[in-house]
Amino acid sequence: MNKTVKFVLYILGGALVGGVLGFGVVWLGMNGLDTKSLAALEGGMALAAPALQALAILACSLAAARYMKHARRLAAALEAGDEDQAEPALEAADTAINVLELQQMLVMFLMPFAMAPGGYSPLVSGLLVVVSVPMVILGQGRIVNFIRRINPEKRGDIRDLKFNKEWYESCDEAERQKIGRASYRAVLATQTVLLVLLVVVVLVRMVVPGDNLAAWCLLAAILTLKISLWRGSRAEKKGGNAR
Amino acid sequence: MPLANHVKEHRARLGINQQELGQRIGASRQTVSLIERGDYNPSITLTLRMAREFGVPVEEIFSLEGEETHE
Repeated sequence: MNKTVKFVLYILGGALVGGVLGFGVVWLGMNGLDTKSLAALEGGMALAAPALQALAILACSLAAARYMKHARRLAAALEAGDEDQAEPALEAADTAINVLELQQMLVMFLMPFAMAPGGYSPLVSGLLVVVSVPMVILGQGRIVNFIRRINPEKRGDIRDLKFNKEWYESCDEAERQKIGRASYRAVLATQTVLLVLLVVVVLVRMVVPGDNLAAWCLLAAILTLKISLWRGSRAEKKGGNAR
Repeated sequence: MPLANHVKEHRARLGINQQELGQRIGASRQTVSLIERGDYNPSITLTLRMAREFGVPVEEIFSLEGEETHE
């Protein structure tokens, strides 16, 4: 497809999505949910949130344990001399770390939904967060130790605040290239999401009364992303290390 | 153009594992593994160190895929 046509279609698509969002916001602003429905929705969410948190802990922990079991089996084959098993073992361990990260995000994300007045939901939700945090840290620590068994040159302790820096410094050229490429993809994805959110927040702000805090927070995040990317690029051009 | 390599064969000739080759050329076992699998094209520095370790010219270790190697 011609690039100009594609660009115009993107703009039209964006305008359409923006129009639908804007219409939705105006409609909600005019008709809104009545107080009774709103209270029922909040009550339901407050009850569901701790249950979903517990489900997230259970599902993610089991999935991580399963990936680690697979990784250990591959590592045993590696120790027996099959060097081709090293990368699949590391990939399985990486997935286990990411699954635990997902668990932490879900548990934290769901907590605000439990904060309805009355009932035990806020307490249970808070307890689940308190249970999940050490579980994730200990689990990730064990996985990092496992990775270090396969790659003994790796440094850094997960309980240390400088862990990411030390880990990166113990990586050599191939790993740094992989990290760099993955980080760039992450920056592009985050930038897109932040810009879309900014448009949504501005649209909502036009109809719903309130302050501009959300928009300022998003702008601060976008600026941080841009400045750190720009500084990182400059450091790389000078032959330094991007942090 | 993808890069073909004979790192695994030369390593086998020397009778060393990925970890040992990595130590000799100043890279990690993971990097050696990625190079052997064709998932990473090494820097010139690493390539020259590898050639020195194997005692062969660079062209005998790496070649552009589809082109003849100097064996």
